[in-house]
Amino acid sequence: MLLPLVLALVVIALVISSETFARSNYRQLGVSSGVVLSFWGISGFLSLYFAGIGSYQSYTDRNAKVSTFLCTLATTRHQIFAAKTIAAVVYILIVLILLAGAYVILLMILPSRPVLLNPSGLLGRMIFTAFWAHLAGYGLGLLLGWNQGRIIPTFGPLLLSIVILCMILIKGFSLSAGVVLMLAAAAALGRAWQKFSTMPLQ
Amino acid sequence: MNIQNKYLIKVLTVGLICLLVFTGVLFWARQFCQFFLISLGGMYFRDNTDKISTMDLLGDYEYDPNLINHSSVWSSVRWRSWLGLGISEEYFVEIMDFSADKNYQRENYEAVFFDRQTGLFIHGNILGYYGRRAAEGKVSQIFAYAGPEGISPQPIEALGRFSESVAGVMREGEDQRTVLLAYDHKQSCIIQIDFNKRTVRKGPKLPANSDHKPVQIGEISKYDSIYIAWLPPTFKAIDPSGTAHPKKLNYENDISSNFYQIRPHFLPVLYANGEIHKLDTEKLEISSRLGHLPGPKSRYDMRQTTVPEDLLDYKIQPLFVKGQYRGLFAAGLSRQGTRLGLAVFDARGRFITGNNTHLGQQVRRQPYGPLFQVLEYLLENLHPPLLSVVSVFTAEIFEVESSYRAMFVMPHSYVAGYGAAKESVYLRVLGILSVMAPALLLGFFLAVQVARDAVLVGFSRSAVWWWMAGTLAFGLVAYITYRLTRPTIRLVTCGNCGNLRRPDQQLCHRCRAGWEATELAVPAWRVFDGAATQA
Repeated sequence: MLLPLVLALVVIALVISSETFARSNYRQLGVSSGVVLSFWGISGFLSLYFAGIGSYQSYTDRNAKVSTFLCTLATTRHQIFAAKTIAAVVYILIVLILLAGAYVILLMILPSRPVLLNPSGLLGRMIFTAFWAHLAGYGLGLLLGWNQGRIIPTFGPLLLSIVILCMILIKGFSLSAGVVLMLAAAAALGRAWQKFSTMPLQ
Repeated sequence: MNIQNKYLIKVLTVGLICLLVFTGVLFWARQFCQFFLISLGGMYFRDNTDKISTMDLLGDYEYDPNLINHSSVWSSVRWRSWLGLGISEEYFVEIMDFSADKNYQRENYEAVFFDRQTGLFIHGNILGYYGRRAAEGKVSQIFAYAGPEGISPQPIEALGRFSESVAGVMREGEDQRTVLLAYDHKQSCIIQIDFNKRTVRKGPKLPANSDHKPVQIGEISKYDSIYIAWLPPTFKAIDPSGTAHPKKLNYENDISSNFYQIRPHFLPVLYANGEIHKLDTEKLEISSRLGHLPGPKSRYDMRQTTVPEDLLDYKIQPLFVKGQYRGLFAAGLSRQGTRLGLAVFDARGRFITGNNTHLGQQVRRQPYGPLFQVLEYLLENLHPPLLSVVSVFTAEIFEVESSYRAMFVMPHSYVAGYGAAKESVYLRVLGILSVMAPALLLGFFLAVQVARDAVLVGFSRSAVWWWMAGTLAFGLVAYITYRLTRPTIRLVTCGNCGNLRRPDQQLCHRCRAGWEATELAVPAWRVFDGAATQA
């Protein structure tokens, strides 16, 4: 729970500073810029973070043989994978809901609030795109973590989060970006599930 | 789940991830090439833009015996392909409001804008930064609501409602009254709304013609990225000391390019087909033609369009000399942002002259220019051939702005340029094949490699064909996918044909022979119970 709180604080600091340092006539513009740019930056960081989590989970699972142990109990591989994925989805949702809450409250209490409060507007699209970006990051991280070496599980998430961030840069926080990232998330999780369910656990 | 289905899922998921990553990388590589081409081409700098003479516009002035230089005009563009990126679209259009919405007019804090929820124009004071969205949310004081039937301080039903409107604002009289001229598609007429006098006046019905649908009134431009500069003629003037020095027409007193400053009782109207007509602000009638948007040619000089929707940006600028309308300059930027067309029309709307600034020609003059052009072309050929073919058919479907965000298809590619060409089908197909030749050759080469390897690995005949077709269609992406999903099985020698075969399949994929079973030869001798037989 520490991460969403830290990020919420970062958001507050960025948005308030963007309001403080903007000239009086451009404060709304400053706040709006602060909202979009800070969310874009945080989305990039979170994609890296979730890709790192996925990679770390797979890597430690392979080395510490967590799934091997769990499979000796009354648990199937499908259940283990489903539990991992659901936990990741819930974590992503908690982070995003807390972040969105921080933005909404901040924009409501700031005197020079811009017209971005419409949840179905920019903020809604930002959350939608960010959710799929983070899930895609997590799925790709899971895939990379099964790799035998150390270099790919360590640096792969960094490269993939750059790719995801560039995709948001190209498409913006939009429905089309969300759909592309949804496909990426589905492909990555599908492949990770297949790999996990067929690999030898020993 | 059987082995075939598992393999199919593996190929599809890995292929999709490869496609996303690969097209993303290619997109940025092409963007960098574009950036260098545009920087080298210098189309966006005045020094490199061709000037054209406009001597026919001024008549007597140009034949003055003291004339030193004829008048001329040039146009240039600020580079704005970065605006096409999604994140900058959000930032600049949604937040900073550099939108093409011309239904919003503002003078200091006083603004007039169209409220889509009520279907009325609102005249009021707004707070905060410049922008339509801000105006909608931050109106501090509303003076009036205006509909097609009247004007009122309250949004009452009797005002009627606008459906889809296009509006231009002008300032009238010495007191600079705010007067709105709106065209409503449902009403099909020009409506004049005088917010100060509180009057609404309708003009005659316009003929129903989809091509002659007004899309902009008054200030005509899309994004204000085009700059048009007219250089007046220079004259030799002799000062009291007897020395001659050049003298120009004075911009402050003699020349104007602003309809609102001169107030000539007409405003320009841009139609959906690119024609520019004269709107009489007294009679509210659309009368004679002033000109049309120029048609900057697309890549390969194959298609010209004057339709505002198909241009990346456009701008018109009138010329008034000593209060008299002398003509019009119209500039348009092609979809790809590589051609800038400029046209000059006289006061009667006749085309006088024009030019087409060509980025490609300017690039070829620069060092390294051809290198980046070739590099861009090769990068386009690394794109999956199937998506390149799709680009050919979808190049014109995309909105100009969203085409800059296309990752999977390339609406601005060389091959899509041929797709948009107004040539015969035979020539178009020939052109597309020749432009795509490197991609097709690469696809064919990779398909052969994949097929050879697939046979060695032990894929069935149908699987080999699928892989070949996939590699031809998706090129390098399919090849990378194949290498990543290729089965890693140790092959064994077939007892029948002697070639290597897969141990996990029932039949040899080369000779279709099964596994050799140990032959159980029946011995010729038998054991009999001698006593029982005798008995």
